[in-house]
Amino acid sequence: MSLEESRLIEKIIAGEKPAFSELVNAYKNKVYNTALGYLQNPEDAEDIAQEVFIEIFRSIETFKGESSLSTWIYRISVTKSLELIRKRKRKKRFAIVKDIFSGSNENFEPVDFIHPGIIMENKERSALLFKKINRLPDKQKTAFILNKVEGLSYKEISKIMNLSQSAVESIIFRAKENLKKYLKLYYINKI
Amino acid sequence: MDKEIKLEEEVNLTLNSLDGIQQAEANPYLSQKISARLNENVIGVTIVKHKLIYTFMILLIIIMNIVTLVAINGGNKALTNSREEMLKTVATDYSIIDKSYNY
Repeated sequence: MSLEESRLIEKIIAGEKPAFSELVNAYKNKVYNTALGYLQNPEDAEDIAQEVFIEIFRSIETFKGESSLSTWIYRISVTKSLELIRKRKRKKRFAIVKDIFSGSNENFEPVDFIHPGIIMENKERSALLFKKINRLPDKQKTAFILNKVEGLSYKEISKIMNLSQSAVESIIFRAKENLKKYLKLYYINKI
Repeated sequence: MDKEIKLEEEVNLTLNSLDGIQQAEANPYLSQKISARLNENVIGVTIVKHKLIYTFMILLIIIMNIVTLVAINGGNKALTNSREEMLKTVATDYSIIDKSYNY
């Protein structure tokens, strides 16, 4: 952890509001973008971004400085995003069961997500890719999103996920193989 | 064969569609929203604390009332018993109770 970071943390612990605002402004895009990659919904991503900073505010005293501040913040962002995804899945399962008994026929397919940072010619393809990313297991999803959406290196991802670099490489390789498989199944009937 | 090549091409194009992605920008007022939520939480906790204190006080008053009622009723019973005994003593003293038929 750098000297600047530790000074900022000391100020936040001391209750200096401008210091906390400084932290929020420095990291809000990273947190929001990470959450957006998982949740594929701007409102949910903003909610999670708020939850992440509230968590940071509440537990900043427990931050030991063993990792960088950025790594710690990414970890909280990943955890909060995955928690919301699990909560959504539980709600969806309950709603499906309820609908079976009530006889209604609601469509539970997620709406196409167009990430605001995608170039025009890739919007449709990226929407399809994000749908397939949803199907990946959590570790593969995390590694892929941190690498492809957040642009983090394998080294940075390994610190966030607490894994070796080679483990991260292997996870991303498997994620890509799975995505290729899902995409092949989609395109095979279209070509 | 052509179909397979085309398939591979489509898959790879889609898999690489996130290349060059720009970071999405968070709400510029995020900091203010977070501060507002943190303040709400503090107020919320204070309100809950006050509610607990009020509830405890009301329960205490109810319990004290019950204890007082029980104590008064117990006292009344004791008072009635001693009154009865007093009447018996007076009756005996003045021979009001007729013992002549007690065989």
